[in-house]
Amino acid sequence: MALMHVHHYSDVLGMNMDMDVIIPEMSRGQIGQRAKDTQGKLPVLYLLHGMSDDHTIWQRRTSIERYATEAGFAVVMPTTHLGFYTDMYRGPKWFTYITQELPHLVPRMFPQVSTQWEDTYVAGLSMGGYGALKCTLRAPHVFCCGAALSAATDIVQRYEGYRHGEQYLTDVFGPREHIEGSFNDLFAAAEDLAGQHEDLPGIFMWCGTEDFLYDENVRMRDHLLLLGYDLTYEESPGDHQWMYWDEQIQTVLQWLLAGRGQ
Amino acid sequence: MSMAWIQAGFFSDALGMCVNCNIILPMRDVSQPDRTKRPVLWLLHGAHGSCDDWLRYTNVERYATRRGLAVVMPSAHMSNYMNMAHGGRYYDYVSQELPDKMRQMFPLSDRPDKNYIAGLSMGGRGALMVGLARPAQYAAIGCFSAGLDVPATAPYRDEVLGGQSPKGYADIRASIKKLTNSRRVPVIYHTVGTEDPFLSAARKAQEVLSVLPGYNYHEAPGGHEWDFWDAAVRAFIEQLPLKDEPDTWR
Repeated sequence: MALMHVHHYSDVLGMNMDMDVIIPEMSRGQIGQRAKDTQGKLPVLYLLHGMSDDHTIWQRRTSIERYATEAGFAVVMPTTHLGFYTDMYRGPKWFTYITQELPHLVPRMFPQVSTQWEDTYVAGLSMGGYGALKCTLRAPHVFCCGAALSAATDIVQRYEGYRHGEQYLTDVFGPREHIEGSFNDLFAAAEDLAGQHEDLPGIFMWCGTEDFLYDENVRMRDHLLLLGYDLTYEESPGDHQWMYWDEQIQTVLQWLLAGRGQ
Repeated sequence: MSMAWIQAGFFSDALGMCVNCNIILPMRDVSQPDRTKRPVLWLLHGAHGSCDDWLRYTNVERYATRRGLAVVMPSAHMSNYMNMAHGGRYYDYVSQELPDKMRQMFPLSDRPDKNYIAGLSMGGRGALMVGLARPAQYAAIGCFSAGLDVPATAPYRDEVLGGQSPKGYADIRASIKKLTNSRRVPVIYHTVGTEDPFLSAARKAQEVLSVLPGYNYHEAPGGHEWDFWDAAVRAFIEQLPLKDEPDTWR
């Protein structure tokens, strides 16, 4: 298993960015690990962090490296800081960075990583769950499916008593009154894609029943099912915590493997 | 052209443990197709050092950018880049496993004319040793502030050599003899500071190495210190016989 701390220049953002990348490798002598015997190009999971965190957090709060080795996935953990993986109203073009620049850059930097659509996945938690859903629904030509854990699905809700203040959300998404139906509205994104796409992407969602985001996850579940999405929805007791995400990311990997017929 | 800096941690089968390695990788504009394998400088640290030294104490990233050169900086601890009598198989790691692994994980050329090895002090001797034992693997060798022998005062000398003199790949004089009539010898850039305590060791090495074609020896003011090595790696990179033919991957 190889863990890479990558520091690279982004043309889209005009600045240097950090990301962590896990590349599974077969080694005979490393103890306590089962590595999958990977052949050919590696499937790749773009794994997004939540608010307050950065690109290192999945490494620190879960055992993602071990799970990815066993599954035979490369994992790319980028950051867009507090930017909601969104091309900001006033700020950097994070969505373009995540959905256009990185999928080109990563296989160039790591030639073992597949460039194929059917090998490219996205997942995330909380704000990163929003990002994963947005990538899946708004960049379906890049990511073949996506998984969202404890996702922020309704950004209009974020404006209610948001601790960073409304100005910040306006900087990210634009004026509150223009959000509904916009590119950044996941409910609208799901409708737009359902209206134009014959094969809708597979989506996995999990949320804890005590999570403050539970209600909006249920609403998104019902919305996606109504629109005919191939949704795997799971919920279980729990709130907004890493002990659940550590479990659920393993479920996500199993779900991805099942989708690959493995 | 921009450079990506990658701090890699991975398992080495040769050493039986996890190792750290720094990689500087030239990245082109992402909107352009790019299937180019980069030319590579394998850059070795000195005794008491680590894979971070060249990045922290020199401008090697800036010099490499100008030439589109990838730089791989491994850690070899106090091994002298040898298979230690009492310790890890660092020669196998640096000369074989590391290049194999890095070329698998990154777009790095495996062509001999696009591979170069250099280092300072312990790494300078290491670069000479590896490069001359595997002359078909490298087009150029940079040896900064070192001679042919493991100094009598070198730390961990007994652990490395086990009380024996270097044999086989580790015997640089023997490698030079083998190459005397060979047409395929890496270009050597050998430099040492006139205030360096290893000046006389370097001068002795010069007498032996000067039988090889393409051997260049330089003395310049300076000691056993980073100011000197910053200038040395810059000069080495500027002189590299980089070819333009692309080397591509699929």
